[in-house]
Amino acid sequence: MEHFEITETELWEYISKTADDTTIQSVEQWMDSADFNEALFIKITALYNHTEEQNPSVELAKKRFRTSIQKKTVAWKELLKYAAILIVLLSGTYIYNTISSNKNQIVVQTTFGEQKKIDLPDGSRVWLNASSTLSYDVKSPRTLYLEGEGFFEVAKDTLRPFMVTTPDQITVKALGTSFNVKSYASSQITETKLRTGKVEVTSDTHFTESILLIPDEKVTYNKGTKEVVKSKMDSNESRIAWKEGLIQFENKTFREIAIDLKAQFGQHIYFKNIDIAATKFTGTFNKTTPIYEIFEILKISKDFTYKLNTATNEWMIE
Amino acid sequence: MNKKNTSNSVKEAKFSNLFDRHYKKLYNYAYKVLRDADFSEELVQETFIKLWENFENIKESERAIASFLIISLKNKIIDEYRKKQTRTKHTNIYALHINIETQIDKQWEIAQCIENIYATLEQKTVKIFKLSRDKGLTYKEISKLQGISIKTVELHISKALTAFKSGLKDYL
Repeated sequence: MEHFEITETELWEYISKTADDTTIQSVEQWMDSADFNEALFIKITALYNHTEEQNPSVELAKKRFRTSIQKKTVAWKELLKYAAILIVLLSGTYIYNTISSNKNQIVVQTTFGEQKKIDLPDGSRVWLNASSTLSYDVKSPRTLYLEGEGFFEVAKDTLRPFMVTTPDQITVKALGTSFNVKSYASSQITETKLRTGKVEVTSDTHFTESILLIPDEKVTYNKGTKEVVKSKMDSNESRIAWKEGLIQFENKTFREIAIDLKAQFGQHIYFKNIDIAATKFTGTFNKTTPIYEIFEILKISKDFTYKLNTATNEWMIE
Repeated sequence: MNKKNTSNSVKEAKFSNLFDRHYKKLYNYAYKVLRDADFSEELVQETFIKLWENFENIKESERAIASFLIISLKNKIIDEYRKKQTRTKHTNIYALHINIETQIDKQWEIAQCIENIYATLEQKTVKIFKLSRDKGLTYKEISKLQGISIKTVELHISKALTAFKSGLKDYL
């Protein structure tokens, strides 16, 4: 019987693709023979993979870094100009606010298309969706105020309930759970979706009885009709799509969708045609999809025209 | 205003140094986990920006800075991974989280290990091994380039392989 001997250096040549034809041939013969040492082959291959090194340009990275640092400083200087005006404008509200709030107030805000993850001092976590504001007092980090949309993963603490209040006075109370609250000021609807655990939805002003939710249930409150509806979610709906970088709507009116799109893209959408505003759509888009592409796709099921007024940065739907 | 500018330029010079020392390593680490050049670049950039913003609060020791960089990058990778992977189910989020963490911790350990192995090898061996591994040169090409015999090249490669095999034995 023929014997095949292969040295590690030959094997290395073969795996690193630097071998000449003679070496390739003898390695391959060895692999087909009884002398083939598979463990060694796997080892050297793994070694080859682990020692892989990319060689990125450090200089380019530095350059990019310098530009973004400078942009940041410039942006601040620009902002300072406006800050003075803003202070004047805000002072009215400030005086009012100081009566009820204090310096310990922490406010986290996201702008159009931005998302933030916040670790609260009690160990709970919040994912804040676009165009939203979350505020709380450092002394009571389990009592939060939310305007916009947030997903909450609550750290268990049976002694202190975790509460989220929205601008329309809906309060969601939880003990060790994860849930999503959506309450954009411009939207007619405040919605609470429960993922795990148990929450209680209450409102001092709108409904007398508290509503208990079990996983995969949601409760919606309609600010216009003052209607409160509790319902079961289907699997599609119970995904908190925005947390995964998706814009998703399930059988929602165009008017409702427009609110989500505004939060993402910062552009207001006007409807000249009430009919289209009330049309319901279902769809999932990547957050990075341009708004006009979303329109193009919605158009397939119901025809409409859209136009951007560049002066006001508003879309007109007809 | 002027004072602020000078201190900023000192800070920039310091950062230029930090880029030279840490950028490649962090980039390679991110790349091994993410397997995506653009993503890796982006996350390492963000990591340095975070350091820039928090620079005044961190002790200016090599160690404190290095660990700040690596921890920030690791968290960014986890977040990024999570965004990509949670498409399936939210209930799995914790299991996933733990998985990713162990996986990227392992990548980091391997990277450290490789660095240590390189440090124990002779400079000449490292150079020859890298010519083979990174530049993909044949033994013949290396021997010409270095003015040594092919046998000597093979000897260096063999030394490096032996060192890696024993040093990385837990990961091979």
